[in-house]
Amino acid sequence: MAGSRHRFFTPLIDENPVTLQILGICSALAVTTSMTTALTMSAALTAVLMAASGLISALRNHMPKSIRLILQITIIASLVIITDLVLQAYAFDISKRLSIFVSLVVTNCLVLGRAETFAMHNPPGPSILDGLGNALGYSLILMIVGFVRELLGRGTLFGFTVLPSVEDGGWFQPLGVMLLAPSAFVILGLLIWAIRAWRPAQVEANEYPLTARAEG
Amino acid sequence: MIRGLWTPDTVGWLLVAAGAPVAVAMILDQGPDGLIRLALGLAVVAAWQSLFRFNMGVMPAPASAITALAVAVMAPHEVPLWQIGFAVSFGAVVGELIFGGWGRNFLNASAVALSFLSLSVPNADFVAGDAGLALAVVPGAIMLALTGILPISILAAFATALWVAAMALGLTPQILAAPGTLVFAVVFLVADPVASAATPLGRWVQGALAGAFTAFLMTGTSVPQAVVFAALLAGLFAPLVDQGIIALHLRWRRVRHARP
Repeated sequence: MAGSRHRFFTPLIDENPVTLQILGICSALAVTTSMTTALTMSAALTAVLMAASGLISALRNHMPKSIRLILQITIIASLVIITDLVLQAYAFDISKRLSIFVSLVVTNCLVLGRAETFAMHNPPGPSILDGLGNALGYSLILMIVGFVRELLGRGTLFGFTVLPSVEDGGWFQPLGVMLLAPSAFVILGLLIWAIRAWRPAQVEANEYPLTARAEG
Repeated sequence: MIRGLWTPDTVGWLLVAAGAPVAVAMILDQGPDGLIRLALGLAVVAAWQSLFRFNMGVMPAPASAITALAVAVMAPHEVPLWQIGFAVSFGAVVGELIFGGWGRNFLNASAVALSFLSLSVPNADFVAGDAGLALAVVPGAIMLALTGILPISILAAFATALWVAAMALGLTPQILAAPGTLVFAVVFLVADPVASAATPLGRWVQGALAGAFTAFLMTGTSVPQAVVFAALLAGLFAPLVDQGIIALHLRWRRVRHARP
């Protein structure tokens, strides 16, 4: 059981798909302006990733090597379409706000990455667990970025007012920059920095070390 | 000049000295509010610098005080103090300290901080600055130009390009209405000794780019916001421009010395 615990917990921080492998950045920027969309996107990705890992793992011995990528994409795309349709049926407003980003889960490197590196070589049980761990690692980062952006950009969390804004008679003047895509890059960068300060094993070799100032 | 005197700190202190008259003019103009913002900005910069000094060995630089000054001079008056602190922090940390401190940054930290503020409160009134502010910049600018810290070519290229582009677009009245900000921004943001172009020809190109960008951006936003974004964009182009000029020089030299 130690193996499965490792498989589940490692992708949360130590091998986080977003902050260590820098995968899935596109959607992390696009859907994190509010926590509601971030949570919906996380749920959609979790469902797709777990189902895709399980299915691909179950079929792994029947996939010819030469066309495996096409088959993986077909499976992932079908699952994404189903997820998108479910969202449209039961959460139409949020589905509209997420626009194309749920459909773009197809091209999310994270899903194909787990299928290709893990599910193709392991039985369905561990593959589903690996998919869940990675999806939760992705979700964790999305929720943190979404928390900062919605709190500072609107003064709300999940749409509920936390910091009353000036427009509603409060004191909080929203930081508009937080609702623009560049702020997600910056928050993600600072988050990666914080994680690497906490877990120095993730730090990459310094290409440009600081040297002592030359006395001239 | 005596060798050994021109350390980065000397340059930094000269920049601070050039900024001092501007700080005085700003406080006279804005009253205690201006003083509070400047003091807050300086405290924030000092706090981040000590944090980076003791945790990462990044040497503090006096020139970073200009970031606090630039935000205090140009930020809209209705922006709350915590946002001023946020913007100065952003400029000081993301614009400067994470690259190893002043002298290793590739963008002007003041331009980074003000762009952050400008994106945050896009509709607020950034201080346009009257002729008084422009006059307060002049003595410092002359001192920096005489010591060779301020490249005059950037100023000349900026002024020419801005004027020509503004004439073409019919925007000259707006320029004449905001002389203080324009002069302040070109001296302390565009012609920054660290982040501006380093080759003589590159300086002309970067100054002209900044001037032209300012005029084009003025069609959609206020003059102070336009000049801040122009400084940032031109600063992004500066390394590329330098690289191109150096490549051209190498080619010209090969042609000059080649035997037929």
